[in-house]
Amino acid sequence: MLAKVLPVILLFFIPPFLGNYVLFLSLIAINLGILTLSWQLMEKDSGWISFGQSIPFGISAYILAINPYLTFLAPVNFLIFLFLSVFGKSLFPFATFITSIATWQASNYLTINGKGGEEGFSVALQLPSEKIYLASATIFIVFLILLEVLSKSKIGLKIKAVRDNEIAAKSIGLDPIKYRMFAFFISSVIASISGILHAITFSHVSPSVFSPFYALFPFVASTISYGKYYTCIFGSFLVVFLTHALTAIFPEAHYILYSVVLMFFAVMKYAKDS
Amino acid sequence: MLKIVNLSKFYGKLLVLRNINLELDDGIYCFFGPNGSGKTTLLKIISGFEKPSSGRIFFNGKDITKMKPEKIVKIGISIAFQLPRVFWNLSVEQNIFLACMDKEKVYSIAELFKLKKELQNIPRKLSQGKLKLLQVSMAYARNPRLLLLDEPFAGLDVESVEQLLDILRNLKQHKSMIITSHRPKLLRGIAKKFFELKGGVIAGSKENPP
Repeated sequence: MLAKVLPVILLFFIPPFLGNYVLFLSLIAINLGILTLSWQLMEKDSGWISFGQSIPFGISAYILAINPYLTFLAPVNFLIFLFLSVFGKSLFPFATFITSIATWQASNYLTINGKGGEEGFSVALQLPSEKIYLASATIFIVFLILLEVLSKSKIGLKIKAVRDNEIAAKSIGLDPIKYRMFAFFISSVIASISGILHAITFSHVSPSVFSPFYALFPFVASTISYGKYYTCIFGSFLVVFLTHALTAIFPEAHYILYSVVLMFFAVMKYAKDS
Repeated sequence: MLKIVNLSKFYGKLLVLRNINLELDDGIYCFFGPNGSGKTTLLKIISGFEKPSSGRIFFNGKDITKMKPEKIVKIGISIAFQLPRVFWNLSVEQNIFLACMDKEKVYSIAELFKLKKELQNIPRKLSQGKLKLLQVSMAYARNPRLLLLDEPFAGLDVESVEQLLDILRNLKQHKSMIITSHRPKLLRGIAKKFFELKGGVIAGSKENPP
């Protein structure tokens, strides 16, 4: 366990010495790394590829901006995932992605007391970047350890069993809905915290938190970092820094990166299946 | 132990089981008959994986007709399907552990089902025979009062059939079972009664295999 977590801790020591800009980008990378952890719990252990992780991420950021006292309600949005998981695939393909795009569009029309809409909301809670960085890095490491332990626990084994074969799970007395609900709830809590940290980092929330950039980010970061809990932060750093470097040349360059990863994933999956 | 009253099952307009009435006490029973006679459907209904169109099922006096499969397992009925339903990405050890949730029991079960050498393998690496043994061992690991085995000999070579028969002979003393098979003769000396299913009805029963 220590061997896995140590490189992550070491990585977090470097950015504070490289100036404010690098620190800010690293902060974004860590927050999105937390989002990637939440996605990996869904994909790796629950076997459910979600392109809508931006939903709990964005909703929590919005709740924090609109009314910080209601932030504790944010993880309840796991019910959306549960509903989409149970019925989504049979209702329409790419259910979570389509839902996240719909949320993105709908959030443009969300106004309260004349605020909101396309402009979004300001976040009242403002903290210096160094403090948020420390909090985000600590939270990332705590979640990383928690997910590693969960994955090896009896409950983790049962979640994987449900992922592998629902009928087999039922035949040995496991209730698939119960274990899926548990995994989705934990995943939503983690994604919600990531959204809250993201909102505090920018002191502002706009409809773009539901955009495909955030919806697909965990998938891309996880794929290029070999899909492990303890490597996902490296993928997250790579995507964030590359995106910002490429933006100077071509504003929407990250979508090219996303497309390449999606194609790579599709080819690998085809090769594996055949 | 198990009582089935006026049980019928339709898939759309297709009648699969018609008016089945049965009362079984402890022991091993074999259901045989041609393809489509309703053997598998009967086991799926008893285990809760299919719901009957009409009729009731009682297990130890309790009505289990509408119970979910995961609840039925908990009151003592386990099923091993014809096609392997196992956890493909988990090791054999984890597969058995998930069924019994007892580390020490895993080794005794693996010993009984001759899977000790395979404990660290994933199911994909097992032969057809070993896969079948794993499936039966998982159903057995729940320590059920009634074990349902759907076509346990299908697709097995002679050696694997012998291995499985040895295990069934061992279990005979302390486990009740309903076994469906195309080859009822294999269960001579093991099953105490043989029921013939034809066109969804029980066409007859015998003490010895036909």
